[in-house]
Amino acid sequence: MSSSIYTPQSQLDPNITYAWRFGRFFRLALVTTPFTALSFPLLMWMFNYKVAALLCGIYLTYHVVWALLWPTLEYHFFRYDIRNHDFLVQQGVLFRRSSAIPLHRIQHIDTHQGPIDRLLGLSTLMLYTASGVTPDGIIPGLAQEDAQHLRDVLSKREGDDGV
Amino acid sequence: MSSSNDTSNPTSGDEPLEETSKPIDPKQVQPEAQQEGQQVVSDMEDSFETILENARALKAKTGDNYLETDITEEKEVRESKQDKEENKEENKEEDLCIDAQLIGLEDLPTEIDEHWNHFSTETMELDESHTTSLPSPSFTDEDSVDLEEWGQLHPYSLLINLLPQMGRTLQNAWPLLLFIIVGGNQAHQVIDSIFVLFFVALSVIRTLIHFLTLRYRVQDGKLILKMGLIFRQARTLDPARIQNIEITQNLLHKYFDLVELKLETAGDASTKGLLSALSLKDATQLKKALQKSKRQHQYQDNEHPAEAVLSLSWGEILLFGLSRRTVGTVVVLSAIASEALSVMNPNDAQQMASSLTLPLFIGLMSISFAFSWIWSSIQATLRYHKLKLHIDAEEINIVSGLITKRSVEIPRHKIQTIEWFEPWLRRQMGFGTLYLETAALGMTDGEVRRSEGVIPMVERQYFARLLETIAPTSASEILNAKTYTPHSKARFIIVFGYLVPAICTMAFAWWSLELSAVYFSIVAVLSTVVVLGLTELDFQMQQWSITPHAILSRSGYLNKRTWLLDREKIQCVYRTEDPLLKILGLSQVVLQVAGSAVYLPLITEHEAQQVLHNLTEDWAEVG
Repeated sequence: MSSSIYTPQSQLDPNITYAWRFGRFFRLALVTTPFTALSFPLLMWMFNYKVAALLCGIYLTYHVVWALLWPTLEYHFFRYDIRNHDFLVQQGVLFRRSSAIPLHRIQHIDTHQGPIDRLLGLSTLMLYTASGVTPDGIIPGLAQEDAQHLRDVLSKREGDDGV
Repeated sequence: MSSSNDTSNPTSGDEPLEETSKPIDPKQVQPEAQQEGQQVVSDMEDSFETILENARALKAKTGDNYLETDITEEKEVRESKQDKEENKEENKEEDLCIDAQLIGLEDLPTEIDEHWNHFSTETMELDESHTTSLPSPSFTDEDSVDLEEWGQLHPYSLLINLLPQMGRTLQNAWPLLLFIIVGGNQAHQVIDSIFVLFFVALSVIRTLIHFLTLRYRVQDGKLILKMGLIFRQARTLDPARIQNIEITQNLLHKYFDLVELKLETAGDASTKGLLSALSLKDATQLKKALQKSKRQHQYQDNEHPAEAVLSLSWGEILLFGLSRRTVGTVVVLSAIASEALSVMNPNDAQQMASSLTLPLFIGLMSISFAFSWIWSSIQATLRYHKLKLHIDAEEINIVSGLITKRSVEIPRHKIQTIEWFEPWLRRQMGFGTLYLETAALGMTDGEVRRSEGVIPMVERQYFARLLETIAPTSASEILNAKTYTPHSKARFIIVFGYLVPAICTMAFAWWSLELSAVYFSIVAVLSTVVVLGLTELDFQMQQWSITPHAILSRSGYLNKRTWLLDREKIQCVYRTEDPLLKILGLSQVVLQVAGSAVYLPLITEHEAQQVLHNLTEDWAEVG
């Protein structure tokens, strides 16, 4: 029964969208625009004017949408919950993913904070299990104190790591 | 001395060194006694020199005599142990029964004997030498747990490592070799030769340094390795974290009676290539020490060579080679051929294309199939010759190999997933391949590590029995449990997997072979039928099931794979939906274990939620 299945409720700090937007605009200005500007003549030479304009237009539009519009959507679709025995994380707009990470399998926890995050007082929590090099749970936009508190509490737990 | 301070911690040295090693607190020294203090200091400096001299003498003593004394001692101990082992032959049956009771499978030895007897007696009679050529540890209570002194690589490792190392260097420098051979004037050739010689010299020096500086030791139950001259490295391995132990012996090793020991752990801390040439005695000693520190309780009787649960014969290995990699090789050869056609002179290409009649085409295909069969049979024989599988209470041991003999030991509780692989041809022959995957998988140094626990040919009727022996808690309940099928709309997703090869074939037919419209439409219709048929067959074969202790996932028709997973081993679980899956209402559930992941077939979102819910409830009870 779907009523007995729990979906995570907590949302991120709304300010995280500013952090994302800033970072993505940065990338837009420094990487995407020069790249488009350089590839436009190349495409014009390879194909004709229309094809080049179309491809560059698509590329630019995609990145502009990604920088402007996407952060609010991502914020809206991100849910997480920290329960007694596991972490639940739901994320993604088009490519959705719901993860469940048991607490007793967590190997270590990292917190990560970029310059904008520091200004806003946020940080990102990354949970690592024994299943690989990439973190299995990433919770961006947690208030700094919360993140550190979580990290301290969880690192004191002991558990068999099932390896 | 005048110091009133007695807060000294005496060094753990001998008596004569004690009195001179007490530190003197400068603050406690009275001004009048400063002269005395200076006297003390100069006395200390003198005694320091004697301390150093004594220490050097001690080190020299142990260093020199380590190899000599231990060899003679070890020989005697080994001979007495062999006598003991011969006496134990009679008690073997009893011992097996004792083990079986300990692990709770009382009927195991006799039942296994019935089924496997014809295998094991045949092969065991033929080659006793093979079973005893690789070290099988046997230990008694008197052995010390720690290897007290630092062990070294055997001197012959220089030779053994040199050739592979040079080979690797030359492989990396192949453009240079090409230039030398193909073209350039004399000066170019000389310079390139100098470069190659330089690289070869580098590899020689590396091997030399590695041999001279590698030291290993078991301390406090952990294995410590030290290596390097300028860039020193130390590595610590915890025996409890070792995923599998592999002992390899190639021809060079065999000639000098050495072995290579590979200890694999999850992550990067393995000993691949480090302990590359130990004498048999050293390797056995190291293995014993590691096993001793792993085990809390002593299974004294476990270390006789257990009877093989499974052995492979020549025929089975040949069949394995035949059922492997056929289509792939043929496709690669065809691709190469078509590339060669396009690069050649247009006239020659035209001539060849026009002479490419159907019989000739079929002939070429048959030759390439035959070639790939022969090649994979040779590879399979080299790797899996006379494979024997031993299972005891703690470990699974696989011994195999023709020129390079390998012995892989995997602790039972380290197995993360079990994959049962039945490609179509092998299935028709009645066999499948068993892969035992541990956490020592995944990517390291840019190359994918495959599991070492491979049993290439297991008869299908014995698969269930073998599985129960390997994983008693989960096997029986999962094999008899109710299976669920994927949602019917999953067909739309499965078809994508077959569309790509189909489109490539059609493109090949259109552009390269340049068939006429009639022939092309025939090819197109055939491809569509094949794609749809394979999709449906795949769909029918996909299954999954879930029990309190295990999870099973099965997929594929041409390459039928079944994954068996103990729920204790799950690290985390997630489900994904991309836009296409979302439209169809499906979801993909992925169970992550250490080093790999198991994918369930595509099921509805609701079912996926239930699976996650089920697993998280389980964790709530465990935690």
